[in-house]
Amino acid sequence: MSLSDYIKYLRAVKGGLTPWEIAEGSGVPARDIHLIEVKHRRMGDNDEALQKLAAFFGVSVEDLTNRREAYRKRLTEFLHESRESKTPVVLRLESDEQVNGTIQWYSREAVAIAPQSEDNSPCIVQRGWISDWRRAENPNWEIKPEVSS
Amino acid sequence: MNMLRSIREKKGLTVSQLAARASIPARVLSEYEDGLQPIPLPHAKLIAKALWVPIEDLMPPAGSVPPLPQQTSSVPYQPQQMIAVVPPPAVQAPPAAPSAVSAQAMPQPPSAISYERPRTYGPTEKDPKEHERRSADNGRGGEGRTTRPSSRPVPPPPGPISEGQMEELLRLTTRLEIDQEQLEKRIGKSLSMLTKPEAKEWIKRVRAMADEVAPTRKVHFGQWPEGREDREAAYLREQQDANAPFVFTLFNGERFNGVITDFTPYTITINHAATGEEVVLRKLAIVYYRRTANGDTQAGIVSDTDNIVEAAPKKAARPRASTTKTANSDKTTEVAAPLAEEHSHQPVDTGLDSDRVGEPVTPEKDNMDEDRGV
Repeated sequence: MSLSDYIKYLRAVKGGLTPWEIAEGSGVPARDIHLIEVKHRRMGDNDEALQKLAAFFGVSVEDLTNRREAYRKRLTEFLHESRESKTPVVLRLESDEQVNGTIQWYSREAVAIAPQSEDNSPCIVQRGWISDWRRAENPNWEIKPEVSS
Repeated sequence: MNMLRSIREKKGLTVSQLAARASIPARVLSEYEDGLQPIPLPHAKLIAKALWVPIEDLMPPAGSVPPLPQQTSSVPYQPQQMIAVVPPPAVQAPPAAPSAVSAQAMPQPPSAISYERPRTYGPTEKDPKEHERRSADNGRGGEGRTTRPSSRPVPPPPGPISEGQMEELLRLTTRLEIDQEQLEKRIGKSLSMLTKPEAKEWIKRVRAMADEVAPTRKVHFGQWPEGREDREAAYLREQQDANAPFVFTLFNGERFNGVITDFTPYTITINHAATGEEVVLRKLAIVYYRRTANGDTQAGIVSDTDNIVEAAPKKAARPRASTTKTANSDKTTEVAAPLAEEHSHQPVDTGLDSDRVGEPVTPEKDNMDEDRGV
């Protein structure tokens, strides 16, 4: 889950707060919150702002800073490469489940990953819930290699 | 009679109207009509387009005698040769071979299509001496080639291959993984012997070859499919048409199975297999979904998630999913608990106007208490 997806999720969990309401409560400009949400590149360089947001949402700062590395474009790059080369991949979801298979297609919101054995029914994973990913032959996760054990 | 004039009058246009349509000055048009000027091909095309007639119609009927030019013009009126698309039969030409006398008297006829730039401005009369000079030329040389005005410079011969072209050719050879010699063999001469236009042509050809054989590896982010096509929507539409049973797993581990009845960019509506109710699932709450084997629409937890390798125990603290069930009778009943009980806000999607569901019931405070006498 990228930082952008996480902010979206947190907003939804808190009952659909608007960026202005968050800005009022946390002191981070609404524009910055909006940018973090819409941009596909790595966002949220401002640690101070992230601390404020973490305090406002009642989550740990690490939650935010870790997700900062899992930005959309990085996932897209990974998906693109593995789809082109047809390499089997493993996706870890936020629920700590793991899905493996080859990427059939991906779009803005979802990834179709098909198990290697049969190719009839792909599993459509919503991109927002992918927390980490790796090649099947590579034991190290892309975002947090140390958690692999 | 002049074809241009008769067509124009048949169409009920004035000279100035036609001039406006064809974007040719009216004066030039009337000169064409009077036969003072031959109609050059570019102008003939414009006029034909403006009059909505085929270009051949602008030719006078075969056998008609072209009116004699009243004024001295650089090129005599030869309408058939000027704008003929198909060379007309030689009606005007005498059957006998042109004698030396006639060749001297008349300038050499121009080629079938005049490449002379159409005249739009400037005086109608040209230097009368030019005519004499030209016919004198013809008489002496008899070479032809008199239609090109003498003022037009002869284009210089093409120069040798430029540095940049050479560079590009060499770059393309490396992309094609061939030697310079192989390319030279293919071209038929050494690269440095090529002229500029030849090099241009070869670069075009070799580039097409290279694009076919070894496409560039460069990837533009904006061109990735995720930005252009919504594959998920296409997939969902396909599966909706196929009436395929699906199992949806939400972020809190809840599973729904049923047939997709509708979807939007943010929601998927399914017909719940167990209860027969329509359930609207937020995509935000869906983690993954997959098609189940046909006929397997049993309610409850589906076990055939073969590519889920390990499922961690669900966190107890996870809030419940936000789902809205819509009974078939369009009655909306909220069945799922609020996303987070510890917050006073309601889930996002309890209704259409869900933006303000968390609005406090008590009126907002203002500073008007003093005025009210409180």
